[in-house]
Amino acid sequence: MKTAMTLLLARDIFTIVAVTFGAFFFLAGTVGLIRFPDTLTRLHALTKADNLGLGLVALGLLPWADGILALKIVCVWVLVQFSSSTVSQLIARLAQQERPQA
Amino acid sequence: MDNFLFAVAAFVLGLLILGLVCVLKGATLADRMMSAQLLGTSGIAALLLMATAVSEPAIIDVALALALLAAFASTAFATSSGDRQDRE
Amino acid sequence: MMVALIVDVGLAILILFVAGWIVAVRSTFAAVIGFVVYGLLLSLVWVRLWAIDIALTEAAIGSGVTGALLLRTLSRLPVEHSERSANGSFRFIAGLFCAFISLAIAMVIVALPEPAPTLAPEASAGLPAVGAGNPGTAVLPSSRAFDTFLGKVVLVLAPVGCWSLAADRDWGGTPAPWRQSDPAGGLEFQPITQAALFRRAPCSRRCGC
Repeated sequence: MKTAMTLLLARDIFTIVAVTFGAFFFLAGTVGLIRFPDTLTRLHALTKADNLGLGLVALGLLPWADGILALKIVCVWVLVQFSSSTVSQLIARLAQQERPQA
Repeated sequence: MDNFLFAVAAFVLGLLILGLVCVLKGATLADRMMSAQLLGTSGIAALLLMATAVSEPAIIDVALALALLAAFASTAFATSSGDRQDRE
Repeated sequence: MMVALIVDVGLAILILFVAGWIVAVRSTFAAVIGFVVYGLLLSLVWVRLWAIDIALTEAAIGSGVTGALLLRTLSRLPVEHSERSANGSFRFIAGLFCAFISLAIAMVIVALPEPAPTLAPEASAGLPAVGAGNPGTAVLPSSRAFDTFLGKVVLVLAPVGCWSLAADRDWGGTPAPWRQSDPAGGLEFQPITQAALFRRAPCSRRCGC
């Protein structure tokens, strides 16, 4: 009984910690988006920090999902990784075309 | 726990709006392309949090669709502006 | 749940604000992006209203595909249309009209009797005749056939309207691909063809090929 309660408590603490760190990384990404001087650095902040925040949030939500749902959450994160890496390359190329001297 | 997850979802949405305001005032076209990326990632995070907060697993499917469509819309943004620049 | 209520109210205010911003903003590109944002926020609202399948449709079609379609249209407009007119009276009136329609719909929904009138009991009574186990599947062939058929009428009327309204010089040539793909572009998969693999050096005169 006591181990069950400590397990539940551990799950809650794990979720709260992971989601809070995820939200912190989202905040860092948005601050970077606002404050960085250059398009490419802003893109960097957006893609890297926000994706890491999303990964931590997904990690924190895994204990609450059974079986196939946990797999789905991981799939969402993996899909976002692949798509955002490709799209950031596209956007970076566009930024490079607009500013050929860099 | 539900309240906490809702609060984080609201926080992420607030950050989304803040980021969008700054991105849309941005100077170059590439800045505005990033809005689709921002929308996708933040929207997916908010949806996943809501899915857990109300214990409705179907919302994860919405997050999956949003992930796909964010990639699609971002590519459309990037390539359509390529078209515009070719035409100009 | 207090926080859920705050999220709901915040979402509602945000949606109204974004809608007003889309009507008021001058750059059409920003308006299209605003529309995509609006679609995403609307799908969140559908999630909060427990209409998950509508949220899925909204996120996919209302936000993603329509946004891409609008961008494609925008890229085909002449450059002078990229900034909307400074005199916004037409847009203002259009915005007022849309707000009036939204208000009318809202009043109708609020005035619905409780419980809301529904045909669900009659539909469920007819389900065993269809023979499908899943009620969703049973509804699809029975009732959606009409919906799709009537949708075809709309789809026929739409190009007729476009043909009538567009100038003759805008219709030229055969339909072309959506976009000429850039062979050096990163998204293109270039299958190695036989000709490329066995590309021969230019023949000299002696071999007679």
